Parts: sequence; C-alpha cells; structure tokens
Amino acid sequence: MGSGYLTTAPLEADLQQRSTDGRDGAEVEFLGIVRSHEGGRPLECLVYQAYEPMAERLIERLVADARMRWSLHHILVRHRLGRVAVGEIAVLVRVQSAHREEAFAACRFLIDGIKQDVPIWKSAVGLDGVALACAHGHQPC
Amino acid sequence: MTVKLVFFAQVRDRLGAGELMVTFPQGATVSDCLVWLTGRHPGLAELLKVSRLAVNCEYVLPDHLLRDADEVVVIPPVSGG
Repeated sequence: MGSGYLTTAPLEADLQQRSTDGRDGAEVEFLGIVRSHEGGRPLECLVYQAYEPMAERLIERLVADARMRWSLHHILVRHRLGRVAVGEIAVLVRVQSAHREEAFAACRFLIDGIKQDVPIWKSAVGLDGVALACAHGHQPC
Repeated sequence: MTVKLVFFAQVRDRLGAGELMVTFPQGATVSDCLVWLTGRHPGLAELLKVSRLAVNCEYVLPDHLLRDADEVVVIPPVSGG
C-alpha cells in the first residue's frame, strides 16, 4: 500500500515495537483514539476511507517537511483504514530526537497536517450498526 | 476532451457513484467540473463549495486547466486522525 502510512491492521502492535538509539533524548508519541460517543450518541466504530495514493504522497511530504524543519532521528506515522472500534488507535505519530522541543513541535506539525490536508475521511457507525448522519460529514464524528 | 471525475466520502455517497466520465470543451478548468456537477446535482452545492480538487494526486487551484484523460478528484472536507 504505497509508502505504508495507511493500514487496515491494528496499530496496537506498533506500540510494542519502539526502539531508540543512543542519540535519542526525547520521544513524543501521539495516539488518536476512537471515542465511545459522538455528539451524545453511542458509537460502535468509525470507518475510515482514503484517496490512498494521494494520502500516502501527502503524508510522505509532511514527513519530509518535518525533517527539513527540525533535527529528527526517527518518525513513524500510521493511520488506520476501514473499521476501527471504540477504544482502538486510529492514528499514531511518533517522533524521536535529541531534545524534547523538536520532538513535540514535529509531532504536533505532523498530526495537524494530517487532519488538515490528507484525503482521509471517517464516518461513524452507531451501536445499531446504522451510519450516523453528520452535517457535511466533516464534523468530528 | 474527456476527463474522469472521481468522488469520495459524502460526495460519493450522495451521488451514488464513485466516478463519472465527462466531456468538456478545450480550455476548460477544474472549476468547470464543479459548475457541471452543481448544475446536475444542486443539492450538492453547499458541499462542493467547501470541497477541494486534486489532479494527479495534487491539490490544484480552480483555474487549473484540464487536459484530456485527466483524473479530477473531488476532495470534500477531510476528517482523518
């Protein structure tokens, strides 16, 4: 699947696979997790779809931009596609660097860029299995 | 010239189609795609106003010139993360 930033596999396994080297003094990790309720309505899951070739390309560019702006050792970005159950990780961004400032800044830059520009969409499925309607679908549903 | 319009998310749901082949005169721009779509589906007008367009996996400005066989993707507001 392109550069492999998008996956249908659970991301929980990635949490166990962290490694650091001697240069790392900081690691910042952001996890986006599916909430149990949206707008007061109980959820069963979110379903993510993407325009995959463009999404992979734009995430690759965000990663390259982050490396240009800050001195970073390692970057991991993974985003789920398909059904993601309540409580599961939908997106993971991990940055390792010598010091905390660049790790925090780059992690924030990456997740903000993903949410703003990368063609990924989510739809919400209620406990009855019926899709929940959202105004324009771009509400945080 | 003929281009392929590709739809995702709520635009695709509302149209009931993932793609459409559409013929435009020479000199047409990507904004003509939105005008064409809005004309055919007035109920989508509000959504199309807040959608972006991409050609060859890159966002393009409304005055971007269409070329024959382009794949023009309508990108409604994204909601990843």
